[in-house]
This record gives sequence, C-alpha cells and structure tokens, in this order.
Amino acid sequence: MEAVSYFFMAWTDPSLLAMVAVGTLAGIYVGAIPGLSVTMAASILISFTFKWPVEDALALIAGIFLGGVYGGSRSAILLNIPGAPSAVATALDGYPLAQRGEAGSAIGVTTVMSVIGGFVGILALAVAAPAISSFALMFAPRDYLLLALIGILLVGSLSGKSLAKGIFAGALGVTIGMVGMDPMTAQGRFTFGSLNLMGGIPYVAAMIGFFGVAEALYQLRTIDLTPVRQKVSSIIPDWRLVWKYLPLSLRTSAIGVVIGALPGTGGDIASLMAYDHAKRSVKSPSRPFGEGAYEGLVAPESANNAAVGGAYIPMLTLGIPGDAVTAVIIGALYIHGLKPGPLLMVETPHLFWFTVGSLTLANIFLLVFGLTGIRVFSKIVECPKGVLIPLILVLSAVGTYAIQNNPVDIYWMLGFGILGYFMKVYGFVVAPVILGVILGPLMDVSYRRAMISARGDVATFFTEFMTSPLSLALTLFFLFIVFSQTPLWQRLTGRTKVNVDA
Amino acid sequence: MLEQRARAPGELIFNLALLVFSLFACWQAWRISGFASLSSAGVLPMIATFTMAISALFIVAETARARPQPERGGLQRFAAEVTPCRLVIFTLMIVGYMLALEPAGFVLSSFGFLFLAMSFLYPKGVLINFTVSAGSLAIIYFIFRHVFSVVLPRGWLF
Repeated sequence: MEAVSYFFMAWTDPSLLAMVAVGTLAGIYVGAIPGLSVTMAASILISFTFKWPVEDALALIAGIFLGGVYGGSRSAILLNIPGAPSAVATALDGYPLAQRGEAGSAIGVTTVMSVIGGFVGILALAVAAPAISSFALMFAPRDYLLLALIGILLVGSLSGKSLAKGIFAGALGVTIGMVGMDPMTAQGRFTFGSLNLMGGIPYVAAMIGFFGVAEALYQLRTIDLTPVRQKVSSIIPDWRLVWKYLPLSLRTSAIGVVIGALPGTGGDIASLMAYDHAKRSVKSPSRPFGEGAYEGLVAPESANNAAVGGAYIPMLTLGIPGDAVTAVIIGALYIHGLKPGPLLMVETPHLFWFTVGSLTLANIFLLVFGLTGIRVFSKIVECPKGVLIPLILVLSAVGTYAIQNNPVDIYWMLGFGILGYFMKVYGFVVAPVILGVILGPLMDVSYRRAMISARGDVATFFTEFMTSPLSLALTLFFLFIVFSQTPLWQRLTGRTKVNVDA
Repeated sequence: MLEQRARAPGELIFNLALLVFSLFACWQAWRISGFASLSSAGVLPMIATFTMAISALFIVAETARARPQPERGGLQRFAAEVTPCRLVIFTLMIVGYMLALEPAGFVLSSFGFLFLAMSFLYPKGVLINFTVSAGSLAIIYFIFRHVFSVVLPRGWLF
C-alpha cells in the first residue's frame, strides 16, 4: 500500500506534477535541438537542484531524461540531424519519410511507439529492480569491482570506433576520480601538495566540462550549416500503423530494456541494435529500409525509450550507471546525500516507487506534448547556434559555480571542456570518462575490500573470482567483452561491431 | 582491401601528448605508496594510469599506421580544421568571461560575454544582439536567482 502512495506522490502534489511536466517539455526541446544533449542538460541542471528536496530534483530529471531521448527523433525526422545519439537510427528512415511529405504521420507514430517503449521500460524497472536489489545485497566487493569494470569497458568498446580510445577514456575518468584524499587512509593522491586538490576534482565540473563546454566548442565547427527543413502542419498518428507495428514495438522494447540495463550501454546502442533487429526480422517492410520504412522508425524509437527504464535498474539497485545520463543522476543522488546501491531500496524504498511513478507520469506527458505544439517546436529547434552556444556557456559556468561557489571549479570545467573538444575531434568518446569518474571510487573501495578479505594474497584474490557462481559469471562476461573486441573474434564471427559517435 | 584511415592534422602530436601525460601520471601514482601493499592507496591509481599508458601506446601506434598528412601545410591545416580562428577567439572570450566573473559579478560579466559572443557568432546588428543578450540574461537571472535560489557571483556593482 505504501508503494502505491509513493508511486502516486508526483501525481498528487501540484509542485511535483509541475516539475515532471516542465522536465518532460524541456527534455523534448533540449533533445531535439542539435547540439544540446540530455546528458548536457542533466549535468547542468543537477548543479542547480542541489538545494531542492531530492524528490523535486528526481522528478525534474526523470522528465528531462524521458523527454530528451524522445526529442532527438524530432530533429532526426525533420532536419536529418539526430538531436541525440539515440536518434541516429531514427534519421535513417525518418528523414526519407519527411521528404515524402509524411513527416506528421512519422512523428505521430514515433511518439506513440516511444510511449509504448517507455511503458515497457518502466514496467521492467518496477518488476526487476526490487528482485535484483534483494539479490544485490549478496554481492561481494569483487562483484562490484567486476560490474564497474564491465560498465566502463562496455561503454568504451561499444560507443566508439577504437577500443583503445574507449579504454583510455575510461581509465582517464578513473584517474580523475582518484584525485584527492584517499577515503580509507586519508592519504593524498595526485594532489601535488595543493590543499585545493585534497577535496578532489568536483565531478560536476568534469561532467559539465566534458558534456557542456566540449560539445559547445565542437558545435562551432558546424555553425554555418543550415539544415534542410521540412514543413509539417500537424502530427497525426495513424492508429492502423500503430496496431500493425505493435508486435515489433514490443520486441524492440525488450531489446531496449536489456541493453539499457547493461551497465554502461544506453539508448544509442539499444536503438542501433533494434534497427538491426528490424532489418533482419521484418521480411517485407512497408518500404525498403533507408527509404522511409515505418519499421525503421518503430524499432529504434521503442528501444531507446525502453532503455530509459532499463538504465535505471542497475543505477538504483547496484549504484552502477546504465548510461551517461544515469551516471549524472548518480552524481545528483550523491549531492543529495544518498548512496545509490542495494541499500537505497532498503533504506529509502519510497524514492524507488517515487521514481517509477515520476517516470510513468513523464511518459504520459510525453504523449501529450509529443502530439501537440509542432509550430512552437519548429521555431525553437531553429534557434541559431550563434545564440545558443554562448547561452550554454553561461549556464555551464553558473552551474559549475553554484555547487561550491568556488571560481576554481569553473577553470576545471573549462580545462575539461578544451580537453574534451580535442578528444572529440580525434575520435575519442567522452562518456566513458564520466563513467570512470563516477565508478572510480567504487572500484577503488571494492578492489581494496576484496584484497583485504583475501588477506593480501593474490592467489586467494583470483581464486575467489572463480569459486562464487555470481563472480564466475561476471568474470566470464567480462572476459567475453574483452575477447569480443579482438580481431580474432571479429574474424571468427565475420562481423564488425556497431559504431556510433556519442 | 580496406581503405587506410587518414590521420587528422595534429592527431599524432595530441596522442603522443596523451602518452606522455599517462606516463607522468603513472609515475605520480607510483609515488603515492609504491608497491608497499596490494591494498594500499596507490594500487588502483597505478592500475588506472598504467591502463592509460598502455592504451595510449596502442592509440599512438594506430595513429602512426594511418595515412599521413601531406608534409607541407600541416600547421595551416591544423589551424583551419582543428583550431579555426572562430574557435580560438571564442575560447579566449570564455577565458575572459571566467576571469571577469568574480570581480565584475555575474550580471555584468555575463552580459558582456553574451553580447560580444553573439555579435561575433551571430552578427545581426547591435540592437538585435543587445536585445537578445539582455533578454536572455534577464530570464536566466530570474530563473536561477529567484526560482532555483542559486548564489550568483556578485561584483563591485551588482
């Protein structure tokens, strides 16, 4: 009964209801504007919400996350520019549909399918998380170490063109996360004798630097490009199409949930895998894929919104982010004094059901906002980058400053922004850096606890990975990921990996 | 046969710099507690920085194998493709903004930055840029100061 009241908390409190609505609406626009990402918006926003009650912050972020993942599809269909990495696959068939004059129908179908995908993801979260959480209480420190390693490795290997660059980015993040006083011995690490560094590098500065400033600088390269716009007067979902593609939507939603729930992989990978599944499984599509097939819209859009609920599962149950946005949300929870992980569900179960309720509400708002306001939308999405980029910089600076009122944090932000810019230019992905920053301290503590429990004996330490069934399964999964990235595996399977620029 | 990837201007130098940085970080990690114990404060930093160094080595090797740039005009291509004039000037504006944030305060420094940056990136006339900068700053100030209750830097005037 308590769970039900927590579930409906955001539905009955006017201010929380408004937070979810504003978050969803803002998320749709942020996601749709090329150059603004959900991760960027979430990382800037969490710095402003640290004084709020945690429920308000979670409600706002739930709306932004769900709305942002969906919003990316709008610009993919109308402008052929995916507003978010998770909409890359949507553009493949969405834009050809718009060119055929079916933009309204395409957006309508996309909206309904995103909502269906969203509900599947939320349902999976509500059912799976409590079970995983009670199971996770049995996890040993070495299991957390493996999960963190798997998360960084997955995001590093699947989201870029080079495994070495993905691993480098993850390790860089872990190193940044190590700066400051060691939590177990209070020994300084990478502090160079500076008192400023004893407290560590604020991860909000790193997040905003890598996702906000670096992206803004990167967008300067394409500031002169004028997208080809499509006219669309109204959004009409064709309910016959919705009914026809429902089975495909449910299948790809399941893919989205599983991919989203894997530590480190999010909507971008889920949507590409779902698109690939649709291409393989649909024998006679409405049109050839790549030329305006509705199946090519339904699959990625169902999957990427289902991945949102999936990504919350490892975050709330294990404290391991499902993707870059949940890494930022973990940062928000830490700021609010909470510790994501199995104990979160035991100590503050209301937050879990509140999150599920907020996501459900956000999904309903998504349907409402997704099917209306196309004229306003067109105007906002076409906001010139020359206006947008300076505004992002001001918001980034204020966001970073707001956390500790320390101007040094802003310099960190700029430094990370410039580094992130060069990394992006030279083909690195920055998401593993943030995962590393968040997971580094967890890895450190888990590793040392595991080593202490093995009494410092290397043989015992490694044997323990083989003796527990859970540790063995995780170790095998970890080794499989490493092996699957080798040229030998690619030669054996004759396949190349799915790539997406994050 | 697969087409060889072309090396971007400055890519090899950047990756070499990452390698040097990784080696320096490795040394710093070793200085934390050396090999005193397998559960000491320096172990994970050593593992992380060693991983950085090894992967940086692979990255440098990958880059070295890529199709090289034409020998002449490398610097010009780097300037044109990686650090175009617009980017350098805009970055300098950000640096100026950050330096001015505390002494001049949020309102003045942000207005100055927005007006100059918008005039530079979106030159639509002084009046339009002035109005857009002032209008957007007013909205940001109201939302963050009064709705989000964020403490904004105060300068000598505001």
